[in-house]
Amino acid sequence: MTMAMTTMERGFKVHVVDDDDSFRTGLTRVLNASGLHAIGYRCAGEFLLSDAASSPGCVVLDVSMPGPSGIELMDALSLRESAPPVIFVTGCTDVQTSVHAMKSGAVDFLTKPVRTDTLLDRVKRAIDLDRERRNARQEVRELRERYESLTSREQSVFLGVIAGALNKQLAVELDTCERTIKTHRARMMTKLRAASLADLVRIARVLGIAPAETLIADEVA
Amino acid sequence: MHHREAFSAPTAALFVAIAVVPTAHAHASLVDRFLSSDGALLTGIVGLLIVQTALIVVLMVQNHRQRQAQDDTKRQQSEVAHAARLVLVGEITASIAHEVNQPLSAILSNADAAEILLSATPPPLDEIRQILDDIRRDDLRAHEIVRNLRKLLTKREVQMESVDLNEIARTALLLIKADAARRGIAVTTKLDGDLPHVQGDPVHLQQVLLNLIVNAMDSMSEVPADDRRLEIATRRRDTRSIEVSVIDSGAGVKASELSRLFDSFYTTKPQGMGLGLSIARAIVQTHGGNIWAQSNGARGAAFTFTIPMAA
Repeated sequence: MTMAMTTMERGFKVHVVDDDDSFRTGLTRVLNASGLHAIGYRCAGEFLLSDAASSPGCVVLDVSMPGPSGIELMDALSLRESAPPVIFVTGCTDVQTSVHAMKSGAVDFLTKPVRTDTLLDRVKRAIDLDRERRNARQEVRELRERYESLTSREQSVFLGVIAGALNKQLAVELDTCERTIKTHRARMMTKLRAASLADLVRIARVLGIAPAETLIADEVA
Repeated sequence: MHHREAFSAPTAALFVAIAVVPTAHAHASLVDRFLSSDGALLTGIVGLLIVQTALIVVLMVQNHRQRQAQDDTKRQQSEVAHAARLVLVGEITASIAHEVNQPLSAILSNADAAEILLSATPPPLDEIRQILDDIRRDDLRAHEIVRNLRKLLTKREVQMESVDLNEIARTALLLIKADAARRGIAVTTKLDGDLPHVQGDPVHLQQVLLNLIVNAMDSMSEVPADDRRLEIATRRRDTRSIEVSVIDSGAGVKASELSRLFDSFYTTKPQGMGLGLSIARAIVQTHGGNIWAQSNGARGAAFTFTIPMAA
């Protein structure tokens, strides 16, 4: 059988949502025995009421359940930014359901009976994905905070620099001398913890900030 | 078969007439003959015996043919019922597969979990024992579904035995549970816990109930997902019979359709054959019961059948 999970999976939980007692118990058991931390939920409501819907990990979700179905739960989850990735499990190989499930943002689709090797593999992948997504979101949050700590002058310099403007051009544009621009630029780099122009461009991309068009236009003109 | 029967009745009458007329004639002078000669008397008695024997043979042949005709009709009925049962099972195959898959999948996970746990030092024996118990239970659960399925698929003539209608309802529920969940239908049951058994054929009664349930589920396809409700209820109707009802929140039945609903080849479904309800009625009538539908206007319909209690 498979090896115990590495420390990488620590702190991540696997949420098993299925109305069938035997299936849910079996699945949580094998996940726990494999060194993961699995928790079972009887229905979509029970899962949504817990704090699990935004905690690190992944969700193993039965498509057809009485009450809100797995797909309805998926739709509710996909509105939340921090929702964990969802792996769908289904008893039937209904093409329509599969298509709908994948379109609604599920990362994977398993059919019963679920093979343990496949399950562990998919769960690991989903947890990796959740970690990546969390890291990415964390980075965006930090960068946004740093960016928002810039003064409006420094923000203007930032926009100018990533658009490729020279200090001299910026001085004209912002109606000041080149030395002041240099000071703004240095402070801006420190606040953003950027070491190079390449860092600044990456930060702009992560934050979804477009280079200042007016400066480019000026340069071309 | 019936037309042959029609010929044999007059033939028998003719036979009797031919046999009786000379006997009656003989009867008039019976005393004379009795007195006149022993030989004649003997002839009369032998003649009478021959006629009687012939009559008995004719009646026996006729009886046999009649019974054969009845058997043939019965066989044909049960063949049609069987064909309809195959169609019915076909409609709920996905549901049945799901219900078998569920315990099978659990067994697989449990066996794997047990194997992993066995390599721990020391292995958690209590937990492993619990796992083995669960595996056993799930195996029986899968077996139960397969057993019921096999019963439904087997061809059989009506065989009366003591039947618990609540059990019939629970089995039907088990078979359609997944289908109902997939269609987003909330199923509830209202089973009278103190229901006496009835004399009936469990497979055929199962067929009737499954048929009503599948119809009810089909009728809800256009209803908003939150409004799809199905209720299966059993109760004593009166001192003589038990009724089983399937109540849905579907499209309902038009008043003009109510009377024709149980006719053969009458259907409101685009892919329907119109046999299900007519077979259901034939089965219920064979059991000495009744079946009918009530419409709740646009808020669904209720189908009910009764089965007499064992005397």
